[in-house]
Amino acid sequence: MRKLVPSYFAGAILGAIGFILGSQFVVHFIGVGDEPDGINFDQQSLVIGFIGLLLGWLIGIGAFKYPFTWLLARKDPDHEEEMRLAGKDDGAIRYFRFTTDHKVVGIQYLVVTMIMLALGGLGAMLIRTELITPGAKAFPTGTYNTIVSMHGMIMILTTISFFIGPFGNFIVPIMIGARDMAFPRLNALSIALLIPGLVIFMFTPFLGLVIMNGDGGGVQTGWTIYGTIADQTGVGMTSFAAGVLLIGASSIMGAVNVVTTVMTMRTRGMTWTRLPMTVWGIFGAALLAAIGTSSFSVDLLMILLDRVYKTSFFYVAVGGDAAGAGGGSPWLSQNLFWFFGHPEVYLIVLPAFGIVIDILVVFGRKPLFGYKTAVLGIMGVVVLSFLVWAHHEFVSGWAPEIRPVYMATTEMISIPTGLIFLVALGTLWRGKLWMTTAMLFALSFIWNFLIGGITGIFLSDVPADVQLHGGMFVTAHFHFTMVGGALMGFFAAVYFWFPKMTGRMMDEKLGKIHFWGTQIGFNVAFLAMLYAGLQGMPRRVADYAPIFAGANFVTSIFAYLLAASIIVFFYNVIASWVAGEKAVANPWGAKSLEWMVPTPVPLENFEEMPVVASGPYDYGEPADTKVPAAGGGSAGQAAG
Amino acid sequence: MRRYLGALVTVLVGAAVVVAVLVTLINTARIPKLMAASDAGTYSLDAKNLKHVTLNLQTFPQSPYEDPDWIAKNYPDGTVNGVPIPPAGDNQDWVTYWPSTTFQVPAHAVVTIRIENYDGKSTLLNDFYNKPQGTLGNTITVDGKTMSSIKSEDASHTFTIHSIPSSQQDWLYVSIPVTGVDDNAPLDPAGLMPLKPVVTEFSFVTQGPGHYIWQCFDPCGSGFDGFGGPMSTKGYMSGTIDVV
Amino acid sequence: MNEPRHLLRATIIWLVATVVGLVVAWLLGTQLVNWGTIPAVASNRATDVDQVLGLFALLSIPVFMLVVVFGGYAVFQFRSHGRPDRDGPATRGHMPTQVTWVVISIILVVFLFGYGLVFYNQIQSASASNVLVVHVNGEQWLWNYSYPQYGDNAYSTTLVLPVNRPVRFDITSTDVQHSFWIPAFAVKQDAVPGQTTHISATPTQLGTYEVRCAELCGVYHSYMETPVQVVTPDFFDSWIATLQAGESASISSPMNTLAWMARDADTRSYSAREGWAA
Repeated sequence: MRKLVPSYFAGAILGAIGFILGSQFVVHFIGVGDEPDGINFDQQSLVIGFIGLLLGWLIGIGAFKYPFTWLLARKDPDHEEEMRLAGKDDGAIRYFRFTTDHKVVGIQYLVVTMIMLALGGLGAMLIRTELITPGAKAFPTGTYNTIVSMHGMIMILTTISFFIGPFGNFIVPIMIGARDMAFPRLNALSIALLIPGLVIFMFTPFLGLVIMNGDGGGVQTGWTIYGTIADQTGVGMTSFAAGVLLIGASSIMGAVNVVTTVMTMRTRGMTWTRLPMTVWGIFGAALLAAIGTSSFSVDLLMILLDRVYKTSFFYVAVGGDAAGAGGGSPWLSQNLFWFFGHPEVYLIVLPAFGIVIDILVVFGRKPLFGYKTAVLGIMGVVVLSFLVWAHHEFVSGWAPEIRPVYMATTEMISIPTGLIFLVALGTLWRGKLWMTTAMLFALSFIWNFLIGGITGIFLSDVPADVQLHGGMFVTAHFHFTMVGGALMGFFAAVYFWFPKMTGRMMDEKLGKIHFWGTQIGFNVAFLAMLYAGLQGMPRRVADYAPIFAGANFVTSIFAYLLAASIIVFFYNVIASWVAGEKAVANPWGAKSLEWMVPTPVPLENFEEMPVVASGPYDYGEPADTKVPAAGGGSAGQAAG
Repeated sequence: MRRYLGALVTVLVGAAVVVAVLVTLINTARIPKLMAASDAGTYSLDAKNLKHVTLNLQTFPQSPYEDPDWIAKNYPDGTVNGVPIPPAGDNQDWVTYWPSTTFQVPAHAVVTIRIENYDGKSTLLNDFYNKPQGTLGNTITVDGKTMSSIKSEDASHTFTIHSIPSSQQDWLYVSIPVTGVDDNAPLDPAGLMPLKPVVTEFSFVTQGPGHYIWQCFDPCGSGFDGFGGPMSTKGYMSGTIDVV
Repeated sequence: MNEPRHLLRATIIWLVATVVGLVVAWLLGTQLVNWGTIPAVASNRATDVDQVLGLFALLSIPVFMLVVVFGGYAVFQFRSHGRPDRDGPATRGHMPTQVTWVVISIILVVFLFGYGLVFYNQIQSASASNVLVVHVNGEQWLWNYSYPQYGDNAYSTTLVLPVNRPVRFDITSTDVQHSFWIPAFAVKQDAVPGQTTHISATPTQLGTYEVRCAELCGVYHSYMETPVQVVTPDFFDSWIATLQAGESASISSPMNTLAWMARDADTRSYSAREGWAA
């Protein structure tokens, strides 16, 4: 019983108490605002309640245990205390509390992001059920708008975290030859913030009218929360903004940690040109997250200020004088949002670029075709991604004269992206391709992201975008890149690194079922959606004209297949984790550093720090035609 | 074999979760009960005899249950034109149409709607809506007087029917302004509702069967532009009308 | 087999696939409007936009086939069955290939940009004479229109336009952001509160089309559709005259517009593809 304090269990209880204390304090001592909704929650009481929830949670999971001790004792922690905080000798409970070991944090992220993926998937199933026939028959349009907004935001939050979180934390430090991340306590804090952020965010569909009543509560805005409708919409906007702000903070912390780790903690001999592409991809993504997230946070804060304190960042008074007493600018919200929103989608997909390339190398048994080309591709995307955001505003009426500039930069970003395809194809060519499930998903990335990229080029052209913007063509495009690209990359990464992270092998037969179901379900569903988009169907609609019925029916049916396949994946993960075949240290015959340490990975990763003498892509060298024995060792790579 | 079974079971469990959430959403959605129009004989229009039906609606500044005696005094038998009145619901202080927002009228008929409005005035944002459109004679009757437009400042709400034009149903568009109660009209003892409502009446012709929506276009809700709160929520200032 | 044979085979397959793809796309392209795959082409702007979309579609075929054919060929030709016992060759790159790829991508992008820019300018330059100005107001959840050149009475919920006359839409909103979209005209521009945005087009085909909202604006966003009717100039003049005479209400409801336009003829119900029967 002692072991449960501190832990997630204690954190949940203290968090609930904190929420009640915080919100009721406002309700009884400060008084609710003039327009309370639902059970006496107005926006101020909710926000203070959320702060109480966060503090209670952090106290309960032990985030303050050592920092206060160290602060009051006015001394730095010694190695013994650091190890204790990293969960040494703690057993399984260390996964359920504030633990600094990067491997524990990685596993925590893996589980939490898979839960988020399931929540987002639930939203998708509800959406497709509403859209399977014309007429908003499943549930009312207000509920539908809330579900669409939730599905979009949760999936974005999931895809932002599901590479940097599990793999950036668990794999990257070992891959570069470090004992841990640069800031282990910050690392533990970032996952410690993600969980309450998710809980707070999930308040959204339940707020408003009495619990569980979809209409009137929730948000009507879509995940893009444009200022004007965000100012107007129901009380769910408060928990939406608070949850996302918290998760954004967690994301920035994680990103800063990754960037510092990669820049300063590479072991001797691990030069920038010997880094695996996975590290480059995650590094590039972390740069985008660290630089761009604040723009979104500012947008959210402005919306909260507009709603609670009646400022007018985005509010334009109408009726009478069109210039408005409000004086706000709706375009400001769009620009703030998309200035982050565009780099964000590259932040989602860049780790997939790197991971897919690495997997193609390992399962193609060939060195990487064009290391510097691949790096140029990834870093080229990082730089250009900050210059393209206004392509989301081609029809918004904002600064129409400079649209050609953004058309140019958006079309230019296809060049570094194309380099990734070149590197992938060159690596595959004449390799010895081992078709494991991880390899299959990496290959599917190439097909799916190709379609995503090509449809993106259509949208980058201003005259074409005038017709295609705001329709299902855009929805299909970004699903091809996010699902077909990032999610397939995630699946590949899980199948690839599962043996190292959990010590078990995932079931290959279930993996093949997962693979084929996913590919067929996803491709047919979203190709049909592209068709509906060409026909002229707007996006985010609960009801549509009958000519779109055929395409939507097909999309819904195959979306169900996609969901069923992903559930098979979840089952595979859980069943293999519990009772899968035990894994050796290097089951795939890979050559990067993480495969050279034993499984399970020791607390401090390496007995002695490795010295690296060559890159991770040394396949097919004349002196090394045999694959290293599937046992690996704990020493670093030998020369040659 | 066991792994396939396990996977199948998990898929079924997942499907069950989705269905459970769906069913909960459907059952907790606040859709007021269907109110069908009452029969009122025939109506002679352009030398044709069409069916004539009526709908009787009220508009309240807040739920009538806020005023403790009001329901008992005005609706002693618990019905409005035979339709049972809804129970006290959520958001008692929201402006609302009553007793329902889900209507059903017959096709190829003349529909007469009578709205008793207890709510005060709020200026229309768009003057376009101060004229009745699509009604017989393009007029409305306000407290007995026939009018073909009202002053935008006198408006309280509108009742506007429209929907997706499609090849499978006829286009239907009817819009009328609902005049508000004077600012210094006498109130009832509880001080919440005026003693007498302003009655607006209008008629229109339905075409073939179809599913349409209706909404208010007056900024009578909450939020900056008056289109939030009850204006953005089904069941208060917006609903559906089925022509069958 | 030696390296050149693989490359040669894959290249030939790519060329054949590209040619077949282009031919099929070309043939299908002319049928797309009839099948309802793309909206009707009813304005000069839509003609231009469809041309751009068509070119992009054709250009994407060789690119798509390149990746699919070479990737697919590699997967089928070079797969090992089970865990490979040998490595592949230690090629770390091939500078001529990489340089060629980069150069061709740059050329493609420059061409696409230039082509897009030409069309962009062509579409943007509005013809100066005889422009019909239509003031579009988007609000939650309906579009309404007025014709400021014809006086204060000229407003309606149905958009009626004369054929072959350039139209400039001045678009605004009275509440949140909407997006004014006529798929058949390839016209789309956001309706932003406090601002007036503009877009121009010239309707070139008689008929009835749809106006949709393309920006999520609340509970009834899906229902923010109204018809737009392109009529002969004579019809348009009479319609405007009726509006100006203060009888807007009598014809602003499309049912009444239909009756009015049909004069004494039998009326038919509204059909999204065929328009009103006259």
